[in-house]
Amino acid sequence: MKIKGYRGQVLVIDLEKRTITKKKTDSQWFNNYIGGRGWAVKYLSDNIEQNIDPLGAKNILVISLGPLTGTLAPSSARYTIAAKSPLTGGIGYANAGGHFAPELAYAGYDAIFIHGISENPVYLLIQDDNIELIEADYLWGKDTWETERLIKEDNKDQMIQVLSIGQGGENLVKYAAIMNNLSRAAARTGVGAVMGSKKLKAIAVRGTGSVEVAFPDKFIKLVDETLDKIYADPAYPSLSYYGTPFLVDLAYISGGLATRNNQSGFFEDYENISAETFEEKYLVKSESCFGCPIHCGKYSKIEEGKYAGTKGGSPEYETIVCLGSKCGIGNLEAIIKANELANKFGIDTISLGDTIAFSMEAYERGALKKEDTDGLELKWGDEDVLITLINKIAFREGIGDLLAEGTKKVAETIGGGSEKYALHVKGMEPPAYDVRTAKAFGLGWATATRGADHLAALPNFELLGYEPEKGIDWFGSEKAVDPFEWEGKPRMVVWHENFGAIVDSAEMCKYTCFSAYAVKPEDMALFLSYATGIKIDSNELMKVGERIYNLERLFNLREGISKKDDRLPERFTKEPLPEGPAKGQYVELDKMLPEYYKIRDWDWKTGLPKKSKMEELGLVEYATKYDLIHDIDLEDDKDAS
Amino acid sequence: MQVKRILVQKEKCNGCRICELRCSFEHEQIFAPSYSRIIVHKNELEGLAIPEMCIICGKCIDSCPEIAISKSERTGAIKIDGDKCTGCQACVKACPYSVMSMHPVLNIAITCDLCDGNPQCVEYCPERVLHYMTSKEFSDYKKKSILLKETSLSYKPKVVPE
Repeated sequence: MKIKGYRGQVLVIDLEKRTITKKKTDSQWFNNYIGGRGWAVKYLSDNIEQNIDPLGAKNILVISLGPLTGTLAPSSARYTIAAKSPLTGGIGYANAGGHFAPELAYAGYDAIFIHGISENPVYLLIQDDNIELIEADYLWGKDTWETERLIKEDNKDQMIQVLSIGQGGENLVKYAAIMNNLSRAAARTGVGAVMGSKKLKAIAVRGTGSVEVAFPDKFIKLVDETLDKIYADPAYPSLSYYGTPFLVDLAYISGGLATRNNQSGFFEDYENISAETFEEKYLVKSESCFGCPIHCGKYSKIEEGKYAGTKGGSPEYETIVCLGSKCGIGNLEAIIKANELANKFGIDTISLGDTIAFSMEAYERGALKKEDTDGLELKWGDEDVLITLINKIAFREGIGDLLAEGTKKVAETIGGGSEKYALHVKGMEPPAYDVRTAKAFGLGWATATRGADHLAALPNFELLGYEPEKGIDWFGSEKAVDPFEWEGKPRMVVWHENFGAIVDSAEMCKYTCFSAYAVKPEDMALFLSYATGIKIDSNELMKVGERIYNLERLFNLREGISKKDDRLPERFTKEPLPEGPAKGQYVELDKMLPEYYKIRDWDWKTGLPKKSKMEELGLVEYATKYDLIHDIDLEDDKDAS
Repeated sequence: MQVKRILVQKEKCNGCRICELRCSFEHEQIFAPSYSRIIVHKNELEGLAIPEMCIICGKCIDSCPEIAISKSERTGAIKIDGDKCTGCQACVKACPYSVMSMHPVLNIAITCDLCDGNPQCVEYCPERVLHYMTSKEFSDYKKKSILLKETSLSYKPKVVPE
């Protein structure tokens, strides 16, 4: 039976055999994994063999939606793209908004599972029931904007939604993104490189159907209540008017505006990259994802000067910092241009900016020399170098071929002590916020299953200036509301990670859930119950979140990513911030991590999950298959001897 | 007396399409832009999003061979008699703004009915792009908001929330 909210069908595509199979959505998945990220992780765990090459034929690319996709549930137009990551070797997934996901829902599908490698470039065209693989030689080599334009033109339909890779994905840049609506990026963990390795240039979809919910009246009432909460959120005016660039100002005030590869949290050219400057000079209007009341996306344009004519989706906070202050660049126009290039090439701006910032520090410290860099002087703040390097990386030219591998690999290749300031966790480069000024975020980077990832936990709770009582109430410590403190943070991170897995599986935006906290687990339980007609309560829901998180952990463990990798670069744990309001701060990871393991029921010595936890989550069979269960008796025996 | 209709400040539209979702829900109890009586046309490269819906020009009334189309006496909105409509699409062809469409399942013509005087797209628009006003009210409103923008510092929110 088809469950309301879902569409009831999935697509299994084999690119090698050129087969397209429609299957019924497995209804068991709803109860155990909800949708989106949960489904993707489940499918990958079940169907990917151990230790495969992420860029080989055995990797699988999953695109999946949630039970709220296409409805009026606020900011629910997101989707997950997942695969084994070529950047980390572990679980890889990325999540984007825009207008693609609802279109796929209206075409009638819950997920697409893409197997194998195509002999020649193709794109997948979905028009309701009609699905085709179309030769895409003529698109190969084109950027994402041109690809989208041509596909719409060729099919004579401007309403088609396209996700595509640019040269970044084609050339297997390890942190390539998949783009839709020109500026929306499913960027992290190199999912674009996986798509490139499959010679799949794009997925284009047009859907004219509908999404139904089980209890329309209750559903719309809940939508109304949630909208009221979102509009009443104190951060709403800033986020909706300036977009995420307003976080540049918040980071500056807190002393955590990452500067020159996180050597400092104070950027002297801050004013030139602030939200105020952005708004005054470049902001044209908002550009919203589908069905979103927050509309944090911004459209901007540069009218004059060196970069005149640059236009499109504006750089987000993450991009402004990673391509800007982290590289010492204090010219917003150059950042806007760099962002446009990254979007067209389809490259994750976080990993891109970080890898360039790292190479600049390596150059400063002599680990990279002029003869290694095609004669370029990789000096802090040189915007021409930034633009040149982005081009070189996208096409893997000269030094770009090495930088396209990501920070970890670059450090391993050039050596010279650069590993010390090579900023990554599990091989993935860190986001903008300097976690020395927000300790829960620091712990979250270390424990995130996809590497240095602010979104796995996104524990905004510690940043919102709540009263200490609320800290006690939610996470058992009044210090939980203070970003510089570490107490209460392990509990905070576990809660956010578990609920975050639900949010990503229902495919709602984390801004709705973790900025205004307008949707808490009990609200999400109602949304899902009203949409699907299957009653689920918040405790069950949080259990699903925990299951998803643990399954990701098991995937990583079987691929050799373990406790030793739950770390932070020494810059964040041993180098206190040298100046500004957060001077002296560092991340007390060694204090937080053991408590985190304890809450998770993971063994501190081995890093393996305990059997009782695996039984509770229904993962014991899977964990046993790969010998990943911590056997307490055995461990006790060892201790005794 | 001037009639109220939906008036659009298209330069403010961010293209979120909440209007389409709410419209389809109001009329069909489902979420489906293809059933919506309001459509947002977009050009993302140029940053354009333009909501379009019936402006009550009346060309469809003249075109209908079944005399199935009239104006509502209460709201002035176009009214389509589903029993009389044969799905011939004469009105769809006659509509100068391409805002008369066919119901994908019932095969009868559909267009904006102003939700019987309480248009939900207007209610839900997060940017106040859509207004249910007379043309006089709309012009006063625009004058007032320009004045507000020029004179009031509070028009722009503070970057850092309170």
